[in-house]
Amino acid sequence: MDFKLKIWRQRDAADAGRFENYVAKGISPDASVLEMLDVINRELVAAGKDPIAFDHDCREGICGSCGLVINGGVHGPFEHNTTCELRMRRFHDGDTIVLEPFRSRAFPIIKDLVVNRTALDRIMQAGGYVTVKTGQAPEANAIPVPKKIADEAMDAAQCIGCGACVATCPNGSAMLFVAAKVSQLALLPQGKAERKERVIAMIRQMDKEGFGACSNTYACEAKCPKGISVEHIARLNREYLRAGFGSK
Amino acid sequence: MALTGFFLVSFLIFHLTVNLFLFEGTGGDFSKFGAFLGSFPAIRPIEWILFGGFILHFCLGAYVWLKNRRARPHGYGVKGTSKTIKLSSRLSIYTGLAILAFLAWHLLQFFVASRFSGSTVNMYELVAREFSLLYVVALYELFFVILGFHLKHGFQALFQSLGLRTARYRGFIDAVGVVIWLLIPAGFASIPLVMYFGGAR
Ligand code: HEM
Ligand code: FES
Repeated sequence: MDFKLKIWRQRDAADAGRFENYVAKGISPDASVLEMLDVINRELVAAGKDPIAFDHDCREGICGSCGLVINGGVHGPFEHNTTCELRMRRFHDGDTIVLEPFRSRAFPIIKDLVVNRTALDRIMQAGGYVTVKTGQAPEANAIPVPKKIADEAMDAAQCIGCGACVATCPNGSAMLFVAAKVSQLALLPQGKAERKERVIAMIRQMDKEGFGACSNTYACEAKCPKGISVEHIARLNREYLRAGFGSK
Repeated sequence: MALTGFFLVSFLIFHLTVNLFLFEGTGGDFSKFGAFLGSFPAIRPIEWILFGGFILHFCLGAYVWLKNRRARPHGYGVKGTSKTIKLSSRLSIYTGLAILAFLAWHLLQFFVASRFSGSTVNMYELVAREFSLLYVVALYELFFVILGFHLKHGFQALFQSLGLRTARYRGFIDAVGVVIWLLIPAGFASIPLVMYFGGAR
């Protein structure tokens, strides 16, 4: 398959950046967007030019490293996939494809399509953990958890922290990410002990990082590669309110 | 935003209920209600709380809007589309500002007249006089469309912000929401129309 590409190039954080045009020829329909970039980069390197920088790691939709805005859609124009899972067969031969980095004040651009998402890590460091003695994992049946609660916690734990919610939110808000992390812990007995301190610390860090505020557009849910529900945002709000009103 | 919004929706329901007595015609309970509320001792503090509610709601909205504009200094080259982002949510700040502007005019029309004119005004006649003017009726109708749009986003958002819009209650909240954003503005909107075309009684 052949494609015309418009790709955001930016030397470093200080550079203004611009779109540049490329052509991709003879791309396999089974190649992912990232593999198409690999092909282009091989040609660029052979020609002595600077290859296009982009983030990736697992390339199977589980690590959360990749993330491009493709034709205006975060992780592409479709739903519930990561950039690395998006195959070129979903486009038409000869299409023009526009590749841009995630845009958010809290995600400054490092180079080309690579953005710095450590703001999400700092939110996790602020409270996204349980303080327990390390040692052997306990026996699975030692703490019984109702199936429904376990399922909800698992749904929240699906979050791979890619930042698509931030990138797609018209307000650049990280609420879905924080909601998933808070939910996952608040639902389970191990996480309940610190639920109050956790939600306050994580929200405070989220605000400090310069993310926007949720205005309930639910755009995040639609573009989350893992389909994490905004119901978790409702839970986050509930956790925050109960922490504020002092009940344990 | 959620709490002040809920408060303002409650006010709207109360206000609409009282206003529907306008259909009784002159000498009906509308003017009696006005007189009763006017003589109610706690009405002044309640008024201040109401105005405070409007102002607080506006200030919080403006703060969120400004904060969210700053959160994405550089936009996307290709504007994406979203199935979930409704125009009503993106326009909230503008519909809100329109409501504020309407409110100023509306208060000058009715509230200032009843409250500061000294003499006792027959509120029914004042309303009937205003709603015999075509441009007043047209502006009110336009405003109620805007109000409905504001509530369309606001009502369900309020429950999400309070953490109550869970999978279990989502359907119920959205159903009540339709009643709120369609019926409240429609109820208000019926009044100028009926009074203009039906004539004062
Ligand atoms: C057909 C539509 C409406 C009519 C006929 C109407 C009529 C009135 C009248 C007669 C008063 C004066 C009451 C008095 O002080 O004796 C009043 C007050 C007021 N109206 Fe409306 N109104 C309408 C719609 C609205 C809407 C949609 C809003 C909100 C956005 C609103 C907000 C207010 C407020 C805040 C006051 C002042 C309340 C107070 O402190 O006394 N009105 N209205
Ligand atoms: S590279 Fe790991 S999720 Fe895409």
